[in-house]
Amino acid sequence: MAVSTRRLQKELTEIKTNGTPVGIKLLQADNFESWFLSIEVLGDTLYQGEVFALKFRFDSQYPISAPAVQFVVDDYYKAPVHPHVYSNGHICASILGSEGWSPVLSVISVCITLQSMLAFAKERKRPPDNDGYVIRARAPENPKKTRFVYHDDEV
Amino acid sequence: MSNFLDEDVPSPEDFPPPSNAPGLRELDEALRCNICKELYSAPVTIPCGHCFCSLELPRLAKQECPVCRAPANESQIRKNAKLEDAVRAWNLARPLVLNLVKEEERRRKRKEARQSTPPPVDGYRNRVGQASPKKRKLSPQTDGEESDVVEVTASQLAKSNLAGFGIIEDKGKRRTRSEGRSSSPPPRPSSSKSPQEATCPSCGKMVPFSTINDHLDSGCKLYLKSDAKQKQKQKDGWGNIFGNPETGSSKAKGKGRSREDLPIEDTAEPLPKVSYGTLKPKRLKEMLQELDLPSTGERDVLQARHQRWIIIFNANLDASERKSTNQLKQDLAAWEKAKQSKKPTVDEKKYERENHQVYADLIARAKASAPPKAQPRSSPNEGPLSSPISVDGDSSSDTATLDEKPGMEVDP
Repeated sequence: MAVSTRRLQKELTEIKTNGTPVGIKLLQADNFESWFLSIEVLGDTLYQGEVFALKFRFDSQYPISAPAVQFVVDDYYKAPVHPHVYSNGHICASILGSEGWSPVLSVISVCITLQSMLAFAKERKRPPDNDGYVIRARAPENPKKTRFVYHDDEV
Repeated sequence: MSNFLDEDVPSPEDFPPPSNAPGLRELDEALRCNICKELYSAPVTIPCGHCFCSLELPRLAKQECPVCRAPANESQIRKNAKLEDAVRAWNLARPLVLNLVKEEERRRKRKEARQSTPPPVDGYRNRVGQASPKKRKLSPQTDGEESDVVEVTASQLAKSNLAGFGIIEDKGKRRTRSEGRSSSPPPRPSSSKSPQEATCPSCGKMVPFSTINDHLDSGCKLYLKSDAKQKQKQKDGWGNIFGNPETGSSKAKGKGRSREDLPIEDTAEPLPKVSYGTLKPKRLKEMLQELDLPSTGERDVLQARHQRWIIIFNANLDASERKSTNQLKQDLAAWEKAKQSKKPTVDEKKYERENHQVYADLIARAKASAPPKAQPRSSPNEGPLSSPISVDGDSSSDTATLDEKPGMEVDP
């Protein structure tokens, strides 16, 4: 069994045994290529009452290489309106890039990071270059193929 | 959901939560590598004090600790012999401890069942937490206790996950006293399986009955039913990939079999890293031949093989119980096989030709709309929080080129 599979299986066992943190739910994990989780931010925040879905995609190099993580955008789920989240669901967060990712991170720890990213948002706004990225530049289907530049150290 | 979890992967959650078995999960967790989450194999330490499997660490291109991000470089990696000792002991003790703990849990449940209404029987792992943390002593049981034991638990256990551990007994069968008392009862074969095999109480796999104790002592590694078969398969695969092994490695044979099969000796030096950029394919082939490794394949295959060999070989030196050269070669072959099966097949040249027009358009538009120079911003905080820049020159599928300007500002 590949290392990535064994590692994901252990993460799944942990989730099923210990449960997920508050506001995070496992929606679907029936293979070792892609998982879906939902996150919501509880308490008094800009996204109160909204539930978002995250799609994780893993390659055979996981956890050495980062998973491809994006918000699900479909008829039911929308990407949160946030300065680091593009309308196609792509997320600009350093821990998801090759520089910021560390193999000790896990699916749940990524969810927690994104949850806190939403929790500390100060305004509901798309990234300033949203149209440029999503429409004009024909953003790649996989966010890992985009090289993001991280400006903001606050969240 | 359950079918893809068929293979049992040991994890700290095999143990009951801290309320029932304080420290056991933590102990199991502490002896696992943070990267692969397996019990450490050949653990190494870096200056910040964090430990990883030797095989995992060289793959980290970044010069920092994966856990705390403290700077660390390869020359600072040291093997951690004491941790390895601890892991080896835990590997041996784990099946036994697991067994004892489960026995304890079962007794607790039985007692509760007798004292009050039967406890809810959702999954074993989830449920154990709500039981009282009071510990029971492991004392010999009375006959009376023993006899009602099976009747109470058989139905409950059938619903719980314990079924997988081979503890469920067939109806009408009854635990004999001697087996019930022993601390790690050898699970008997159930009627549906052949009498020569038994389910391991720890790993849940089928093991020849006569070897079950040795299997447990080995940390569930030895005497697996399919063990021998798998090894043979790997060997075949090695031959399939690289042609006939008999002719391919004639040099290896000449050197004498016995040495190749012996663990690598203490005096062996780690292999130096190689800068492949300057090497000609021919030289690379020679280097592989010097190592008695297959020298067939494209340049990048040769390089990957050589790189991986250095990692495997050097990681093996960090282990106190070393593998033999032949074992390492098998590991390398297995790795290469796994890698090949996942290789994507994208014809880059073809893609480039097909999308030539799109690229040309984008370049033309970029040239037309490009401002003379990026505006320096007054304050870094006011600018765009994030901006994507596409990967240039990457012609693999669905890569976008972002030529429009909004996201291209550069920090002053």
